[in-house]
Amino acid sequence: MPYTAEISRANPSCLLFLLDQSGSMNESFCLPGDPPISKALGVSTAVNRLIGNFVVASTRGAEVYDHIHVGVITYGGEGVGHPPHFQGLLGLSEVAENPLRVESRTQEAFDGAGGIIRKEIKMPVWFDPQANGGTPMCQALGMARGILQSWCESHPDSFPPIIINVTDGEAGDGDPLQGLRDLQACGTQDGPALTFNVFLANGQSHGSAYPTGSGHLPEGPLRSLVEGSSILPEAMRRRAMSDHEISIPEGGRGVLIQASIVDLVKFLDIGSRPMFA
Amino acid sequence: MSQNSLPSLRAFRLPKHGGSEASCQDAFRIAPDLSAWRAAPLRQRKGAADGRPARARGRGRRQVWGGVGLRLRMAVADGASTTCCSGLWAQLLARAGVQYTVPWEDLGAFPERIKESRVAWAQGARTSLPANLPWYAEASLDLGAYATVVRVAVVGRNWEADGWGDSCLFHVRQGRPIQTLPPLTVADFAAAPCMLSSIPGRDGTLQGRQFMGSGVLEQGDALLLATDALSCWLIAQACFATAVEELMALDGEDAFAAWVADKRLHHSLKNDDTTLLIAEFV
Repeated sequence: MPYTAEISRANPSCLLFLLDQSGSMNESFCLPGDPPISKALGVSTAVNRLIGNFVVASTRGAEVYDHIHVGVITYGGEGVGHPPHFQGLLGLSEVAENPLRVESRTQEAFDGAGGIIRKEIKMPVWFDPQANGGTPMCQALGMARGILQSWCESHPDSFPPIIINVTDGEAGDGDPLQGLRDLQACGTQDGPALTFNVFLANGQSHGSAYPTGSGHLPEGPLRSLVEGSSILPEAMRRRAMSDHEISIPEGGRGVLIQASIVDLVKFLDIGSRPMFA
Repeated sequence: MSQNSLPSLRAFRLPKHGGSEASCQDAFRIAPDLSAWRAAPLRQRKGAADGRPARARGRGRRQVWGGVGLRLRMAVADGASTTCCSGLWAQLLARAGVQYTVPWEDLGAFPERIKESRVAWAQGARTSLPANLPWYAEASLDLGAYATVVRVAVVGRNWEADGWGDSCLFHVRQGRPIQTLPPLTVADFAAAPCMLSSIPGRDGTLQGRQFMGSGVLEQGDALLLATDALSCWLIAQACFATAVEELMALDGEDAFAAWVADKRLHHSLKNDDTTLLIAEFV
């Protein structure tokens, strides 16, 4: 049965983020109730936080286990590439040791005795938000394919790679559908790579979440993102229900159209964790 | 079963394949201590009379307690591997789980009775780590440890149990499950279980999520306590009686290790730390 491989240091999983840094990411989320922050800031904060959570969850004592290999590819006016502190796919132990900086924030917490305590918490940052220029998404998909092909060859028994593409616009360099399908063609003995897409809210219509098909969408780039999104494995659908009370039908695809920041954060949690810990 | 009937006890605990004893985050506790059973004469059973002293066969052997009457408490805890020093937390919870007299005045109120365990975890965890921690280890320590727990107390013919999460208790009679606590399905084991935190105030919404139950034992009944991997396996079996028979036939640690290895190899048992306590009221 696919998507059931055990994740361990011997057989790590792989998580690759493709992040749109085009000029339109400077705009704020356009849905009622969304905070007045730019999409670029919202995405970088959410992904930095998620990576930090993975590091902490893989910490045993003072050591970080390399259960997961993580990569970030950004695409925008600066071209396609990796953040300076995130070159290629890195084991979590290397990720842990090389943040761009570690910020301190104060958090209030219940003290268990009827009071509130203020605690300083550490927030590591691996990359900052950027937003300018066009959207070379297809080029980014091509770069991802190169990285993942070699990873899959060296990890044939691992859970297949998960690729999460977060964008707010149409690819400026072609139709991404073929690039997404090429990524799905990479895989391990446990199944094809999983490609998930989040299209951030830009105030237009045709929003949908975890659809089973693309028939409700007009021909065009959004339809390509839906068709190029993998069906969520059962464990992820269960997580969506148990942790977020989101009911995803069997056959539901890992894609959000017109996503808010809240949708994005939940999606990252559902789509980035292959198995229940 | 008379008030003076003696249970036959076995306890097994194995780390996940590829893990070590030190990395095992399961824990169990039996009170009075299992050594009380070890010191008693071994009840001769088919397949167990190999002439070796009971003590040499390890704690996986069938043992009987030579006490007067029966007061037995057992607890199993399973630390979440993604949390800091969760093996220590599981040990402390299991120890606290058998601490109180029976019938329990704290049935269902266990989270409010483990302040000392939380203090012990904080001290033990900090002591086990280096002085200057990197950001991720500090964050992991701040988040604390989490564990599931199930505990049962037996007084004479009656048992009471409670717990949090997906470590389970099975009351078995002639191969049939009289009661399963909590009453989970296989699908439930894929969900994040309710767990007790080592940090005060971090348990989340425990209200209404603990499970409790009680029952009356008859001669020949058995109580099984197991952590999630083995509980899930047992619930998944089409024939519960055959599955229980397999477990009841495990008469030593070697047999248990071989059985677990075979099930893991065939992917019917999740590769996870695995603990099983069996109390047979023969």
